[in-house]
Amino acid sequence: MSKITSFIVKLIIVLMIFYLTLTSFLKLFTEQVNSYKVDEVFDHQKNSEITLPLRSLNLSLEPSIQEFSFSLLTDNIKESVDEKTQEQYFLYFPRFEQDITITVNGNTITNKGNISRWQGPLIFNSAFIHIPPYVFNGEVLNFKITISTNSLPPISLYPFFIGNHDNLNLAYVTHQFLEKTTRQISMVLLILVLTISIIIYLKLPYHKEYLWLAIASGLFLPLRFSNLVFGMDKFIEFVPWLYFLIPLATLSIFYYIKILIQNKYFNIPLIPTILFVLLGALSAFIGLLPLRQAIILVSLPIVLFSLFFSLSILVKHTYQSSSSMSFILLCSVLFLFISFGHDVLVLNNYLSHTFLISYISVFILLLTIIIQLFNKLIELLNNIKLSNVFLNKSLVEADQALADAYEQQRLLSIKTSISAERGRITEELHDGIAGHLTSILTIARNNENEHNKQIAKIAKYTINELRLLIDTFETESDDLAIVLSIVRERILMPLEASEIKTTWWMNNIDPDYRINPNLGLDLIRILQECINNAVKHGKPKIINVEIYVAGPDVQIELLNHGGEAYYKKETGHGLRNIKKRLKKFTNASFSIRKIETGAASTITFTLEDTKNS
Amino acid sequence: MTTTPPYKILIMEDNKVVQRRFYDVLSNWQNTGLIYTSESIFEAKRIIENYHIDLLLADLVLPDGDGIGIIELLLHEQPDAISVVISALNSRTKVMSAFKVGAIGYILKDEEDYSIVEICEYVLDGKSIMSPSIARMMLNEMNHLSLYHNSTKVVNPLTNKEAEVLNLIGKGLTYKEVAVIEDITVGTVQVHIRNIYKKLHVNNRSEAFYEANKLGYLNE
Repeated sequence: MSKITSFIVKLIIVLMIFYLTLTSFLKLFTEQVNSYKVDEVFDHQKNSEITLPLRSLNLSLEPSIQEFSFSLLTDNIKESVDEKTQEQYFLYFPRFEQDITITVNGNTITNKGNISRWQGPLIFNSAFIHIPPYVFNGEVLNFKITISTNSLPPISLYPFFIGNHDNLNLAYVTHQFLEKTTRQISMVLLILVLTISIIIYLKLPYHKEYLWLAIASGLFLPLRFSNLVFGMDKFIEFVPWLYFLIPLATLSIFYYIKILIQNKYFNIPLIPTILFVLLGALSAFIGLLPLRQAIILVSLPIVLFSLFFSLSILVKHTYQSSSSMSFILLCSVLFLFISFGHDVLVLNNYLSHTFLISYISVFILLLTIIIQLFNKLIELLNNIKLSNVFLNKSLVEADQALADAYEQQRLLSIKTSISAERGRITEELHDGIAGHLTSILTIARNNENEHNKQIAKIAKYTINELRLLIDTFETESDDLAIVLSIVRERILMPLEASEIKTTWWMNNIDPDYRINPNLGLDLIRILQECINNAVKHGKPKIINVEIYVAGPDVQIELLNHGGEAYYKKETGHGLRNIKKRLKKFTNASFSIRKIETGAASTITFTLEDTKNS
Repeated sequence: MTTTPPYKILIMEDNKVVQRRFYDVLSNWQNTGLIYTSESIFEAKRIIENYHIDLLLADLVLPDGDGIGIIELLLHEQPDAISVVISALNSRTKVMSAFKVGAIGYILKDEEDYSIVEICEYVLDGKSIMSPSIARMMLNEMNHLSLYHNSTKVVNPLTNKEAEVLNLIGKGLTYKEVAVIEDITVGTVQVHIRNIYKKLHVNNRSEAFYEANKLGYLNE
């Protein structure tokens, strides 16, 4: 089975189920009440049987009044009601235009209390009227019925019911349910649709379809109000003007569906259509056209076009997308058309069903729209929730980034200040102190005696200290080799002048592992302390420095030979200092041990792995 | 380029004690011909403008200004002359700017007498010396240069050998150790060092040229 066939079959099956369910439900009541229905009467003037409804079209703008005269055989009535019970008889007119006056066998039986207004469809009334027993004075009941309207012609006399109270009550209650209660519920649903679509539109302004849905429901609402709200009968002559809203409402529905489904091919121009409707209303207002004709002229093409295009778009979309929501919506719309057809047949007495069902289908359509809106609303809420979660996350991240940036900025500014200050100090040391120290050194060397030798030694030592200070100020490297080169150049090499031989050995360093630049100065100071300790206490002739680097692990060994076999427990100030500085390193250790020719200090720590960070 | 002894030497140093010492040390060197001394920029300028100079030993901080200007002037007036900085501590900015204008060595003020003579011999012989700390500064400077020139398609100005030598000295190795690793003589190491100084100077000039061109000071 091809896709299109299965689509059509599916559609037909669903619609059949819809229709059959409803009509079989109606049949139940119809069969019980149809025997009380009067749809054929005898016309005296034509001397023949005629079928209701009787219609009279008056196109004038004046309020129209129409009189219908006909006869009914009482036998027909008495057959249908149980004679023995001697019950009272009633007339039930389910629908008629505004006012009705009924005369039976010359007796007027209408009174205000018997008429319930605004019970029927559109501007129809319904009436439940008692027939007093004294009017049954022969075998024939001669009816003279006058119906008037000051709103929309034509005037129709629809089939009515005659029977006892209990018989007619069922028809009355069924009408009430199908044509009033459902409409009342529909009105509530319409308000709901209006509210929800406004909410969705306000939350999602780029979803224009919900604006159109709100406009459509807003335009339908006044008509519903005029039908259902108590007291509106005072304004009955204005109600037909509201019918000019219907083409605009259907146009809005078209736009709703068009945008919802993102259809680009069909279009009904908005502004010209609105102008056309206004023109129709204006021509009726100034009397160029009778109101009814103006409404039909304006509404019919627009309503037909809008509905036809909407339906085409909807069918096409449902067929292509196989969305179940769209399918249900399509079924509801199609069922609404079927119901309208059904009702037209009923009103013209071509169908024996008696009751109108379009209100039920409107109710179903609104329910479908509400479900669709509800879905959208849930989706919207979910989206909002997700967005909130996302926003919160982003906010936290942004906050963190800001804090990080601020911290970096702060550190940078500290660093810059430190660097500037170091630059200034370096200049001062260089231009001032170092100059004077070299003078002292030169003078002391010029005049060699034991005293001056001591001064020269101290001056030289101080100059070296200054150089070390400047080097550490100026070198901020994460390369261990560079840091160690400062130690060699500034601390170890000057020892050669004091006739201490030095050796330096280092294996290659894996460039992936770096030393934290902040720890460089600490490492230099630690090694300086070790070397100074060795020189001061060990008085060595040879100092060996051996550096073993294996991956991130560093071991620095300092051996002093030839002097006193000095080594000291961890008590001195220097050692405390070394330990304190080493605490900043990862996996750091320090040890000092006695060896045959002197002493050995060993420092170990771990470098940072920049490859994985 | 090559000059032969006896050399005419200008010592520009405002500290009289230090100036005296350098004078004494160099007077005893057999290659010394004439020694001029000056305690100020003003005097030095006058000497450079009037006399031939082979070697300038220049302190950078003088009472009437910056010694760097004198190095620049000497190279401009007498391109074959050699400038060496006399420095107390080797602070980065001053010494680096002296190298950039063409100085090709330095003598520390507390250097031993024999070292002073040795350094003068080296620089007049087409060689030079470089301490690890100067090498580290040079490395930074060269990194900056190669970064800077990336946009103008000029690669690192140093040859591979020079870069390796600079790197090894920066890591604290002695010339002897560098020579062993690179399989060259100590003298060749020193020639490389001299070339590194020269390239810094040349590149500094081309950098200035590039800057000037960019700003539109030059028409070509």
